Amino acid sequence: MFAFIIRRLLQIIPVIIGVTIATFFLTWLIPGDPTNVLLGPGASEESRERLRDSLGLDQSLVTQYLIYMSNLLTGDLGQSISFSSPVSEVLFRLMGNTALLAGAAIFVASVAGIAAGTWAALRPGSFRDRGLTIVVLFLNSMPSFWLGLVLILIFGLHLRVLPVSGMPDPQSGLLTLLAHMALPTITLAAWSLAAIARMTRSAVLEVINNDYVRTARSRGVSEARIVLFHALPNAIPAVLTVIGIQMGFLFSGAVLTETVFSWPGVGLAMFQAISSRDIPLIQGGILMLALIFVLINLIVDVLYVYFNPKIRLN
Amino acid sequence: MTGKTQMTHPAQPVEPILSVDGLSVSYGSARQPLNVVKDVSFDVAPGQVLGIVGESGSGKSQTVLAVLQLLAEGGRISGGQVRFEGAELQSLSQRRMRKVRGQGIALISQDALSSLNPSMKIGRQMAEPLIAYDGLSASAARKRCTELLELVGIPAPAHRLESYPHELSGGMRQRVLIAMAISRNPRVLIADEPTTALDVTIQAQIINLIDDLRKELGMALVLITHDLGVVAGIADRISVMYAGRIVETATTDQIFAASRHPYTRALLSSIPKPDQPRGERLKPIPGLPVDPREDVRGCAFNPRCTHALASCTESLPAMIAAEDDGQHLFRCPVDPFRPAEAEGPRARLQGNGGMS
Repeated sequence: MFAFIIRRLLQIIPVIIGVTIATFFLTWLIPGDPTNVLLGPGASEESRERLRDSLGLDQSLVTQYLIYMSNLLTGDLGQSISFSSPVSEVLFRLMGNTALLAGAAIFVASVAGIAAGTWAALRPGSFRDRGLTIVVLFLNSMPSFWLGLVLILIFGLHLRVLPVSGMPDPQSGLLTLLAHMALPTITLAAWSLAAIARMTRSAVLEVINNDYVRTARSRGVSEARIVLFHALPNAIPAVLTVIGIQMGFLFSGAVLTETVFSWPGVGLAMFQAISSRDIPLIQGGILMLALIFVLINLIVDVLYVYFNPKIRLN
Repeated sequence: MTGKTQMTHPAQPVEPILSVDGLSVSYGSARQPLNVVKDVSFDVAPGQVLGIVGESGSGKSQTVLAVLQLLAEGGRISGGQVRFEGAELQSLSQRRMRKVRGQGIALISQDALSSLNPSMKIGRQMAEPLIAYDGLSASAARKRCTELLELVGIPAPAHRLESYPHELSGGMRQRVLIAMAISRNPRVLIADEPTTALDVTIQAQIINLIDDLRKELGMALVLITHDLGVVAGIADRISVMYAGRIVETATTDQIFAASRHPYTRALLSSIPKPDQPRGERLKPIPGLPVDPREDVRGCAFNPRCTHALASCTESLPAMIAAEDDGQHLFRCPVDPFRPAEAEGPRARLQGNGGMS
């Protein structure tokens, strides 16, 4: 198990190299001269030249990349232009807010998705099963920013029951925080909820007809216990994989949701960084999201082994 | 007491503990049903052993699943009734039916690996109903499970409770399944092909174990198999099924010595015998088992029967009593194996197929 985790951690290295190369060249492709953004359109050619020199922009792209990578090894992600502080510091400060939102969303999506999927699987083809299929299709086809806007319209403007923007300061208490989190959490969770519910439904349906379920029934075990202790534990590995993938999506989905709800997280910062050509922040943000994606997958794999004793042995 | 000596004095009417009367099982829609069990009847008295024999697809397993109301999705009892200890099972509520399962009638299924929950330790799945329904404490249930594993001959039972099913051998898993089936002291034990997935040497051990437990715990046993040799040594009565119907039912001695249905005869001659001359080939039954989707008119065995007459394809033969006592019934109008003259009991065929 330990060796397995170490091996998986080492696999992160090629992922980092791949992601940095991709973002480095993609941001290079963004049109416009960075010195324009930094110094404004009225700056003299002389000062532009000085800035290019100090930022290393006059070097070849490969040299720039190597400089970036050697800085990365020392933990230096560069200086954010719009925040005028180190990128790592900006990301570190905002990460907590994003993690809070993503964590709440994956919690809601998992609990509601597994419950709904199981509930539908108990009566395949029934009214509630078809109902779930329709809801899943609905949630899956709805862009998250659009859902966010609709929720703001309903709960913020018409009903006026929930705050629609920003994050309260820590002094205002848990209830205020939860109220502010409600709409962005639902928006962020919707898509994942649908995917998790659909996967749970099919996974439970697959195991509920297994011989060991019949064995349990033949010993007088109740349907509730069968679902809880026989069907769900054997369906969970498949669901976990989906939850893991969804968690990765949630962090990237946070870019749109945080923008719609002005939630001060990494997503909002990255959106602003793209508009203001804050290239170091874009690169750092993407690198961090990629790392989170990989780490979550590692955790899912470890949990997968935990839930499936057969793999544990081999 | 062995049932066999009792069966030679059949006049003694014993109230059956499990009684199946005219049971039919269908899958699919009511308009286009797929009938997999047709008008099956049998009685099992306390302590008695009934063997149900037939090829795969003959409806044996579906019959017992219907008895326990554990038919797969889409399956239903389309006729007849099942009585257990006098109560008609179809009229019971879900809750009362659940009490019958495990405590009244227990099932040992055929594939022990797929029949055990792969993600649950042996001890936990054994103990589940004991703790949840029989009011045992965790430690009492543990003690009981250890005893049960010991009873079915598993070495180091306390250690095995901590194992997962995939960590055990096939024979060991089948023993665990048997221990689970008897854990709630059932009155009737149904074993559905309990040895199919096992090596021949283990097969005999498992069958003997089941029979020993039956005697020790005073259970009735319904043993389902495709192998007449398996039931030969232990069954009091044998019912032979073909294409969803019972075609012959008799005491074990009568089946082996004086069976009257061509299908039973064909099954018997396909068993290898120890005294068979070298080089002589086994006689397989020509043709294939009936596809249940196909509706064969008359006797379902007629396409494969070497004795079939024109009348066999027209109407379903009725059950005929071979003798006056009504113990031996068969479904064949041709009756090609009728004893030529009134003779004494014929020499018993050596039909144990290497089991004993």
